[in-house]
This record gives sequence, C-alpha cells and structure tokens, in this order.
Amino acid sequence: MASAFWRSLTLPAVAAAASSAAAGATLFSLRPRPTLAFADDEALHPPHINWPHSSYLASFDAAAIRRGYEVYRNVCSSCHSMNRIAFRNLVGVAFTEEEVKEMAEDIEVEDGPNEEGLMFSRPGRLSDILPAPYPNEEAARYANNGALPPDLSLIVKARHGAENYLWALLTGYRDAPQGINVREGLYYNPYFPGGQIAMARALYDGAVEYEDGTDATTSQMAKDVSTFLAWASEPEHDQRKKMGLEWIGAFSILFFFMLYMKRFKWSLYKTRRLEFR
Amino acid sequence: MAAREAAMSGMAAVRATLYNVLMRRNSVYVTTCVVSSYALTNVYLKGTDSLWKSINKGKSWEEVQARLPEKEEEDDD
Repeated sequence: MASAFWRSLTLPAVAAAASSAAAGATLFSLRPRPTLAFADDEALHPPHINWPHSSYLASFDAAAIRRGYEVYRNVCSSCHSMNRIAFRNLVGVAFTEEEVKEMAEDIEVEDGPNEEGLMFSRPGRLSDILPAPYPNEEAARYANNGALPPDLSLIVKARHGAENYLWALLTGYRDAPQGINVREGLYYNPYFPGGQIAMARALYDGAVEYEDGTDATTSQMAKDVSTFLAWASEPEHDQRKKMGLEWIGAFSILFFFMLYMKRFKWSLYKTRRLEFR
Repeated sequence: MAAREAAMSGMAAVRATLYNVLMRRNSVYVTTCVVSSYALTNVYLKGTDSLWKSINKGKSWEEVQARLPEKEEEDDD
C-alpha cells in the first residue's frame, strides 16, 4: 500500500528526470534525485547473524556444511536444483571421497548416446552434478502452482542479505498480521519481498536426523543449510581469506622496508644545500 | 681481515662479516638471495598457516573428519 503511494509520486519524477537528461547533464545533476521504490523496501530486512564464518579470518565450519548438505538433500532438493555443484565438489570439503562415491552411485544418470545411438542410464559418478528434481523449468512451474523454485547453487550471492536472508526466510514463516490477505497458494513471510512466498515452510523441528547427533531444530537446520549454500556460492571462500591474510601480512612487512628504502634514497636530497650566487 | 673486524664495534662488525661472506662475490650474493627467499617464504607460509589454523580451530574438514562417528556398520543405504 505504501509502495503504491510512492510509485504514484515517483514515476512522473523519473520520467521528467529522464527527459531532462538529454537537455543537459549539468542541469540534471542539480535536480533533486528521484526516489525509486525497490521491491526490497516491502520486506523486513534480515538481522545480521554472527556466523562462524563471518569474521575476516574465519573459515567455513565443515561440520555445518556437512549437516547442511543433509538438509538440502532431504528437504530442499525435492524442489530445488543445484546444477553448478557436482558430487566431486563435496570431496574434501564436507565428505570423504568414498562417501561421495556412494552418494553418487545411488542416483541414476541418463548418459549417451552409446554406439547404437541410444541414451542409457548408469549409476552416478563423482563428475555428475547433483540430481535436479525437475527436467526443465516448465515441469518445475507446473508442479509448483506456477512458481519456479530457483536453482540454489548461487542463491546466497543472488539475494540481498545473503545467508542472513536465507536464515531469516527459512525461520520467518508466521501467521499473516491482520489486514493482510494472503493469496491462495501463497504463504506469509515478512522477509520475502512482497511478504507472500509460494514456498511453504519447509523446516520443522526434527525434519532430518543428523548423523552427528545434533538436535535438528528449525533454526539449527536453517543455519546449517544456509552455511552449505554459502559454501556452494563461494567455494573459494576459505582460500580467499587465507590468501588475504598472507598477502596483506607480507605487504605490511614490506611496507617498512620500502619506508626505509625511500628515506635512504632521499637522504641525499633532504640533506643537501643549494646555493645560488 | 678477522683482526680488522674484531677492532670494530658490535653492529659494524656484523655488517662487515655479512659483506665479506655473502656479498663480495656476485655469484654468492645471488645464490644467497634465491635460497633465503625460498627459506623465508616457507617459514612465513608455515607461520600464517598455523595462525589460520589456530583462529579456525575445530572447523576445518580434517578436524571434522577425525571426529566423525564410525560408519562401518551401516553401509546398506
């Protein structure tokens, strides 16, 4: 409702600004900036959570990635694909090679064509991508009331608030406040832009059973799967931070050598005396 | 030469020794640069690595793998 008001106010201003841009750039810069309404303004901003990997020198928690994959496989993967992550990407990150090979062998992958020109099924290999729930976008929409469950490979980078947003979204389902009519087939979630999301609440206490005995509460599962997706979006995260430590550290040491060298080289110019006669 | 260095005081003697041993011949000097940069890089990277590990104690995959529960009995699923 508020946004409709702002849109009615701002859209003519945008049009006016755009037409005057041709007239002269200097004039344009003096005009008041048009206020733009973003879809995000209609959503509750997610709180910033102090993740185990938040700090400048903090790595991902491998145990959380491991649990997060369990949550993804048991809950999320029934609707969401992850077509940029292959089984081999999990090796050495949260699973051993043997474990991942077993996981891959459990799925059927269509491969081919063979020498007769036919497609055939074979057990999955390390190089296969994680199995997608639907063969194409149309099938995904048809199965989900017209809404497309987005691919989750890069979702943390693709949403404002990143993993904070995911955690808030997954734990943020509640009854709609009075005065808000939720359309049929949608669910109220204040963190989703617009407030109404086509995905039902997916995480309930005990939805998965963790092999390491962690209590599978809603917030724990949301935290773990958000960590897993943060890793999927940025697998180089740990190495990036470690290299940052190494390079910034090395250059901080070199800085003092450079400082000395500069003073050394300049000492001649700083101490000479010029005489003009 | 040793007598001349002995006559010098502390720091100057060290510098004179360094010069005589490492820097007088170019071949020795270049070798010193290459070998010492290799050694210093190794030492530096070992240092940052142990700092990184101490900051992120318990979070790396190696440590998580070490405390995994035994998995031998349930290999049917």
